[in-house]
Amino acid sequence: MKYLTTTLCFFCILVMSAQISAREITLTTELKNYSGDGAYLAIYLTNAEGQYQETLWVAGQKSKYYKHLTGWARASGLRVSEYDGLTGASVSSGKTLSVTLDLADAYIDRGFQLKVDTSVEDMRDNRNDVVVPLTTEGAGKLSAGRGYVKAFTYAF
Amino acid sequence: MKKAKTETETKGKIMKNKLVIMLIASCLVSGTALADDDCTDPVSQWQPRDQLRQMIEDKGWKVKQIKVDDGCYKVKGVDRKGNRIKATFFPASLKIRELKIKFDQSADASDYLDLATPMTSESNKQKNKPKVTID
Repeated sequence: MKYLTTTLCFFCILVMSAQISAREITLTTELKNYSGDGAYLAIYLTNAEGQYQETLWVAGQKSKYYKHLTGWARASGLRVSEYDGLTGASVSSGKTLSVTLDLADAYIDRGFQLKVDTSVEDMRDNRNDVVVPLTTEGAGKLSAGRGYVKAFTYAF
Repeated sequence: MKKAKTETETKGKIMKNKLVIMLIASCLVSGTALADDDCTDPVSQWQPRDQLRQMIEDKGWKVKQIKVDDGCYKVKGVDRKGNRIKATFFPASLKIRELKIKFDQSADASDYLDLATPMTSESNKQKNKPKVTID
């Protein structure tokens, strides 16, 4: 009985510690009604100085166009290991992209920034279409983009 | 005396037959070995070269030449990092059959081998694959 209780305690601690170190975050990006093809987006994390940390999602499947997501492309070096398993379809005009993932707590309220670069074929490339600090307070607040992004929010 | 002569004649015939059988067998064996290097897709099912070119260029590779050899598409070009590649594809399915990459001493092989990344982080990545919707 004692053995069982100890094991259960250990298990609970293990589960809780796993939950504490990472938090589920949903990133919602709504696009404007522009006239053009599907937009390519790169959502990534930088530190306060703007240095690249991690790629969260890349919308758009043809890697030959990734260079147009200029800020992210330069920062990530377009290494496949940076975006492997983190890519999907491009986002059409007026549509909303929702990405839900586990994010390390170490990134939250520590000066890190969420950035979105966007690009549409034969149209302008937007480096830093969205730049928002990643804080608990900022969760749920709408941020307007400078390019194709109409509104960007994140929620825990 | 006559009997002994006929016996040696039949022995000689058997030896000759054995040789012929062995020759045919060796031809068949070498024939299958050769056939192993060929692609045997029926020509009516072949995909156009342009489709293969597009597929490869989408990967970020640059195509220098696509030719047909032994019933397969053979491609010469360079990959995203500038390493020289030679690849063979099945012409009907456009699935890769053989790939040779030549790396220089200063070359970046991370597209093919990521030895610096431990397996655990890769499996974590798989586990933490984001859920994505577009509405």
